[in-house]
Amino acid sequence: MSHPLSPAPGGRSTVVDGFLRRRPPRRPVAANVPAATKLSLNPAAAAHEPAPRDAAASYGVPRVQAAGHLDAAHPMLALTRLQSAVGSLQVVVDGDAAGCDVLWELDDNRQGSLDRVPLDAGRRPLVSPDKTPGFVLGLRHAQALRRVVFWFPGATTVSVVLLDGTVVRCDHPMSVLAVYQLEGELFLRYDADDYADVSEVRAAYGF
Amino acid sequence: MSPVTLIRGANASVTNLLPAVSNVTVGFSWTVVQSNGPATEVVACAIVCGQDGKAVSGEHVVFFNQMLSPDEEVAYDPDGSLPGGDLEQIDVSLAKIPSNVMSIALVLYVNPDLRTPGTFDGVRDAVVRVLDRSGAEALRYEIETKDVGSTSAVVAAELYRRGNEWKFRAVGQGYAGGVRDVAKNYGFTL
Repeated sequence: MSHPLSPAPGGRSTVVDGFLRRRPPRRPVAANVPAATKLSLNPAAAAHEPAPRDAAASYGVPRVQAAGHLDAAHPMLALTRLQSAVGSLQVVVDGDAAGCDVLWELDDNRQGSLDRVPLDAGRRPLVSPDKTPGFVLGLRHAQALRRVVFWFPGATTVSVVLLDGTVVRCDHPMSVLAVYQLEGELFLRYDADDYADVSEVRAAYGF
Repeated sequence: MSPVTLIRGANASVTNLLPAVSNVTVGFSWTVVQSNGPATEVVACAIVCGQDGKAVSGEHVVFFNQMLSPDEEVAYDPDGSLPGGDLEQIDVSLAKIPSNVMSIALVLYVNPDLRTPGTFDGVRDAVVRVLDRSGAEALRYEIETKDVGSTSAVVAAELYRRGNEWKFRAVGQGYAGGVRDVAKNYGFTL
């Protein structure tokens, strides 16, 4: 069934249409397309290997527990699949929020910044400024995300607040918080490099 | 065979209605009332529960971002390709369900976005039904959305084990606290 907000026929694209897909991509048929490369050389053993379910463990990234903390020594944290796709993610900026920007990239390779964010199927911006001050990142369509990069040129501290109130504190002097979506899990990455302006952030992150 | 329509609190035997079927499809449909602002975004999920009525684990909550339960007995269908034409579909392999699983709660929740998430006041014609793999409807329950309008999550129905049978109960229980309250009630962490 096609969604009423599906892309316009004839291949015309707008800033919103790729993100409006209501359903995530179809799962490949296991018999023809293996979900993952089996590591066992013994076919019988390989047949019993479960499909990977925990991307964070695969990459050795710790999970956010009761609270989280990002700094130069602990630059990455991962959210569970539930934390990654229910509600929204609140990024709270303490300090000067002027000049902050957000760069985003979707699964279909489209990119943009805060002044050009797509609407999702619920007609909410992918990411929007919050009154706290800070930003809100909607998670209902997180599977359509590839990455979101928040740049904080004048922030003293930044916190990421999850749906259940869990706070991930990001130590000063974090200048960039990068959020990556991988296999349904969101990864938070701390970056304290000194970027002179957003064009340097764009260059560093390949936007 | 004409489908059985249930009212809230009623139950029926899936095993008796579909005796030769080991896989059933649970289909969810609803209509969101159109408005000029952000729309209510409804999500369907299934919670696989143990003997204590709680989710076996957080991995046993099956929805669009966690499409398969650990034992692969419950699978979210990502593109509605199963017969039936429902908005969302979840495939339940009754034959694969481990003996420690006693029920599967079938839930609709409004995504709790910080930006005007909405409630079931903005939702009409919510239906949960059980179909065989050909898409033939065996059971349906039309959720009384007027009764749950101020809430933002509904445990619509449950599949539960009774002896050697699998039964379906129309629950229709709204949760004012939304999916947070559902998580608390079913013992998993969001």
